[in-house]
Amino acid sequence: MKVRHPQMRDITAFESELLHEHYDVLHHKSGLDIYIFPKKHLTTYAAFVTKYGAFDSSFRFSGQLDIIHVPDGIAHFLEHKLFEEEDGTDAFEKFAATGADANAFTSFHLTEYVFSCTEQFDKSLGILLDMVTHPHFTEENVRKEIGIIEQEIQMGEDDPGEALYYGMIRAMYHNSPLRIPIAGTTDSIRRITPEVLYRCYDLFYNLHNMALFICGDVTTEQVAAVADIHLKPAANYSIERVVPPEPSEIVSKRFYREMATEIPCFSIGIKDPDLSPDPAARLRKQAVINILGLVLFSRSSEWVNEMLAKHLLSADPSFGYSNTEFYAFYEFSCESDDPDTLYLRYLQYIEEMKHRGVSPEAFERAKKVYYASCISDFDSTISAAQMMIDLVTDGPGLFDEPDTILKVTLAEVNDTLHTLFNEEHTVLAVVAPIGTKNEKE
Amino acid sequence: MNYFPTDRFMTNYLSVNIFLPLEDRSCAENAIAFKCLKYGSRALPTRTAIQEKAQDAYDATLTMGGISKKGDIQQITSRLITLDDAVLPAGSGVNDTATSLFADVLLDPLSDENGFSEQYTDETRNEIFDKIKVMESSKSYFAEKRCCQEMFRNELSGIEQHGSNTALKAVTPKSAFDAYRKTLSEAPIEIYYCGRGNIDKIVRTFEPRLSSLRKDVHSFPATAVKYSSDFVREVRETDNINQSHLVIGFRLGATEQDGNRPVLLMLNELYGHGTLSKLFMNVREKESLCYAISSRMSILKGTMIVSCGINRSRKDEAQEGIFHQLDEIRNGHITASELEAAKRSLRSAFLQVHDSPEAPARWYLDRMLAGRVASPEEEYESVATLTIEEIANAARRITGDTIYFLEGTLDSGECSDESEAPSDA
Repeated sequence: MKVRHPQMRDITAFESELLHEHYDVLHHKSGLDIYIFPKKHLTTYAAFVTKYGAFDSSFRFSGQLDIIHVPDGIAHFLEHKLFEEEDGTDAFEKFAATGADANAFTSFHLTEYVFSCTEQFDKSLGILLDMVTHPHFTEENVRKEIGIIEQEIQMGEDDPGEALYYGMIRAMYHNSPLRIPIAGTTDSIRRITPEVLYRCYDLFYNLHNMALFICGDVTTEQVAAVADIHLKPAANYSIERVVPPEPSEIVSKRFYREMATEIPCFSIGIKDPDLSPDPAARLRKQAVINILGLVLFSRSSEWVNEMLAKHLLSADPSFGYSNTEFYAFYEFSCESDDPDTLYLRYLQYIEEMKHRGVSPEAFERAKKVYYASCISDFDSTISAAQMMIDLVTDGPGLFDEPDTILKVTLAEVNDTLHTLFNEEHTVLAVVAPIGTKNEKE
Repeated sequence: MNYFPTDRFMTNYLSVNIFLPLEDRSCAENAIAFKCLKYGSRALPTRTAIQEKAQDAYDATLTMGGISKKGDIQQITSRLITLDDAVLPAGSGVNDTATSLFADVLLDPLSDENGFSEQYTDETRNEIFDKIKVMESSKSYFAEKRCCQEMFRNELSGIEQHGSNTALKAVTPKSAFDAYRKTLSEAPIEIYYCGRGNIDKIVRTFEPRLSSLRKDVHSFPATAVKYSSDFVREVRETDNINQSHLVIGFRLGATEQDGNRPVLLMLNELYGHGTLSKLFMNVREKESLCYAISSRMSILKGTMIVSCGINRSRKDEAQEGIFHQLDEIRNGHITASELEAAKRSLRSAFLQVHDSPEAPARWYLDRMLAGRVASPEEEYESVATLTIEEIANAARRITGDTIYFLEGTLDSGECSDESEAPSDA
């Protein structure tokens, strides 16, 4: 239920009677929306988020024709550099003085600057806001960072999980920026200059394109007071992401690579060409597919337990659906000594399930599991804030997910089993130990 | 039973923790025995049946036989996490259902005169072997493991937490079941509960069943400590990877059993834990030698491991940087602000124990093993009064033991094998 605050017109309050939780959205005069979720925990968590990530490699100002292309890895590079202060010190040192534990993350769509603390929240928040709104890039500090990020890239190049993920993506997507690793490549980051960093910063680190999320023992008035001191009004303009056209067909049915790893791993990816610009519709579809996935692949799945018994799966698999306005796909991953046989069994299983249909008992059970996972995320300030970030930056709101789960029907789940799980859009990606192919031959 | 009543969380946490001395055959038998429990109980003889019941209880999460190593001790932890009835539709009855299920799975396994099910024993063995392979596929983990294998080659700590591959292969359904019975009869067991549930009901569910099994209960196993090393061994290996890994093992010259927990925690915080540490600020940020670098202590065993991922050509620089930063602390080159920052960071970490239903169990269990239990607040009081000289003295007791270098032979971006060109199956 949405309630407009009677006294302060710049605050919107949200409440969930179901969960007995509430949060405020402060529409700050600077242009920044600030989400405050009070929780009586000792740890308070804050995340200052920009809607800019590795996916945004091409864009333009709304209404303009010129498309701007930037080197791969620049969003991530910016994330590293914003901790550096003009006087050459590191923002971590300022956080140290307040006892806050700070970090940052870059994904395909967001860059997050976060801290958690048990005291001196106001000061730590001020440090965070100042740090992110005062960039400082020089030739020297850019050069220094290249060495660090090169090691991060090398770490990723040796990671079989990362090789598997990008292998699956490249088998599904022809042109999508998803194909490029978030940190870029050692070649692409060497082309990054302070000028390019400032350009991207000015475009995307605009308060109208950002949001601040806080979960912990704080009040809206307290947060507003800190924001008033540290934030200046920002010009309001919008940026249009330029996404290369993507056909609905996959690139290839199979990806295979050998590298230094001890056990083969695989990902089955299903490209979903049915995209929606409506966040509420995407949330509904996400709930339907997550429930379906739990029926098919969770710990109570007879098929999964049979595959474990036959040693075609090495452990409980991971599975899930990624769903944005630009792309959507389903992923099912695990380790296996024989991914190709497992894949054939998977295809048979899906056909059997389409024939049999999801039972009401399995459906209700999966709904309970999904609902439980949603509720338990409210137990920590960090997971509650992260849930808020996901559901607000690309969804209708924090409290909509539990309601949406409860409204999903068995008919929707069975329909989706037929429409989403089709072999035409399915790929198998495999990463195996060096010499595996030769051994088999 | 250790009880932490709270209504701050929506979830309840229950863990049963068992402690055994490290011994190869025993580690293997107990690892398989307790992990095997999840596949079937007498009442619910398949994993599917157990999980259907758990999921019907709003995804009560049972984790059976989590195996870890603390010093010279094998710790076996089985856990139950549930949503509390108070946050679920009226009449859910999740607390009682899930607790009974957990007790049945833990204490009334599927078995016959031949022990556990042969199929489930084999599945569990495969699961452990595969898990080891998955872990070792992470080269940073593998490098740390190899360093520890070299460092503890003549010590009990050199025994793997699941036992060796040879010992695992030798486990039979009968030997696993016998080990399970013996362990429940003799090993020290600590049960933790944190949440809103009715503790009397939980005690009534477990106490009679466990009591009937207990006979000759042993005390907590001890950990042998080697306080110093006379020389530093170097071990070098190669692999088809891009990034090289440098891992250095140290002897601390002190343990928490000696009462040195506060100063060792502080030393680790200053030296290599987190973004304010000497290693992070200097070896990574100033020298740009690495992305990941950290130090990690086992203060029960009196050891410390420093690990980092580096370019192979910069091994000597990184190694020198690691030793140099330790010297800085030995020489008392710690500023007042560094000291205060480390104290605040530890205080925050200690207080956060109260913000999770699981964290108190981990906190108190670790301290119980050392025979020195203190609350987060009490421990902070010990840390808060530490001086630079005390920390420098602690650092001077540290000696290097083993340097392990896993050299990557690929150049960045090079694949170890050609990717198969995308094609139709």
